[in-house]
Amino acid sequence: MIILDSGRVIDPANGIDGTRTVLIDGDRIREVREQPATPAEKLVHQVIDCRGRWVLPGLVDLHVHLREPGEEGKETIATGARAAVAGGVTTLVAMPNTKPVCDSASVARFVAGRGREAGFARVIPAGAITRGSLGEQLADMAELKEAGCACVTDDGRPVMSAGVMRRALEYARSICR
Amino acid sequence: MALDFPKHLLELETLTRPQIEGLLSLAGRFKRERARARGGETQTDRRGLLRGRNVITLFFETSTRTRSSFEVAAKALGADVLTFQKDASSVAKGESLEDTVRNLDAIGADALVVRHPAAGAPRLVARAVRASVINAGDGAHEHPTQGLLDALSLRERWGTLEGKTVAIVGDIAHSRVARSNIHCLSKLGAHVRVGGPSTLIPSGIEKLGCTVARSLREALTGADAVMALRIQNERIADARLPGARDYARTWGLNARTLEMLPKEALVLHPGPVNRGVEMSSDVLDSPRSLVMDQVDSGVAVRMAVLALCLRAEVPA
Repeated sequence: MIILDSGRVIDPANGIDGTRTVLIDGDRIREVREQPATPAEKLVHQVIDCRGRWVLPGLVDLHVHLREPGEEGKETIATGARAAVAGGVTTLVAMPNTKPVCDSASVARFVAGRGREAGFARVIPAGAITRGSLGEQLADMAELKEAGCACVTDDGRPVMSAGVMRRALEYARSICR
Repeated sequence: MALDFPKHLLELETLTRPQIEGLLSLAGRFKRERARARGGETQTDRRGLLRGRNVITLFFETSTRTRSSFEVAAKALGADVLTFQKDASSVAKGESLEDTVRNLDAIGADALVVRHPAAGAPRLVARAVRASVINAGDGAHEHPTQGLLDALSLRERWGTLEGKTVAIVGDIAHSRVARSNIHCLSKLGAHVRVGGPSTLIPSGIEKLGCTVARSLREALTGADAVMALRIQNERIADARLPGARDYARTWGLNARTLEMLPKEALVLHPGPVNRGVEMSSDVLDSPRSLVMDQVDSGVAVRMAVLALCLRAEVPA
């Protein structure tokens, strides 16, 4: 068991912001309590002194550029996911402006699969709104959704045509039911 | 034949139920006669009905079924048929639609069968000429003979459309077939449901007397028949649809999605079919598919329309 001793636990979902000790058993949090780690626990378990530190739930970063596929010289899914967990981010959404653009199930499945292989943060792909993020034709949103995309976005190449954006919103409505 | 029927068939929206039923009864007779003739029995010769009358087909859009069907129907009634070729005509020189049809009228047309990309074009023609005008599809307005032939095929299977539910799935926004069917089927007592991606469902379509299904499952559940409409490539170019693959996945009729439809329910398509997009080949070619019967009904319905609009005396 790992014990995070007497840190400032900030957990909005459970309405906690105060000094707590967190007991972790394998991949489960067994207990969150006010009492600090006991001397007996310190003998038996791995106790991390968290006084003066913050203890947070895993953070979700909705806007991450992992650059893979296509620009592995800048970043890869493995390096990005590893950096994420080092900073407390356990789930991230990978932007679709890769080469090729994540506008099909095959790219989305590739990104999610590489994330699983890396084994750090949970990597969820974002699909493109338009084919190639060119702002002209809609991407296969139903297929992207089925392949595990959390959302669609053209990211740094926003859809310039209001007409296309309107169609995208209307179309998205019919596949989100 | 004491049936009160308009001189022009421009739309089904303004026809009454007795007019539609009278036309379908006559079309049903013609269809049975054609079937008997194919079976080698003595043919009832209907070539006297429109002998000496001129039927001109003017198609400003492409067509396989509708045009050949009208021409076969007119010939079966003994009419002389002239096919107006847009590209070989003075339309190519810039002659207006109105001037063109006035000239055809002066040449001696008794009926003008008009297909045009602009909604309302057949009405404009009807105002300009003495001949009967039959709408063979105008823009996204109506395709009256398609609505009638679908009703005929369904009525023959069911006896009546009263209380039946028909789902129309696909590009409702651009479909004249959908509009004619909504009017025709609901006048005959059926309930019409439309469904498709939200980009292809016009807001306010409920005002025509149908309901809107938000998913294929909602459209098919409990339906007695489903009619799939053609998905056109223009819809992908104008960003209303991502592509054929996404459409086939969410709204396509195939062995998997047909599980949502009651076992005895029928499947229709006005053609031309994109196999594998709005309908898979196994569904199109299955025994529950009425697609070829629809085409057969088409000739009979067009015979009836020509006979009624041109006031032919059909012996009982």
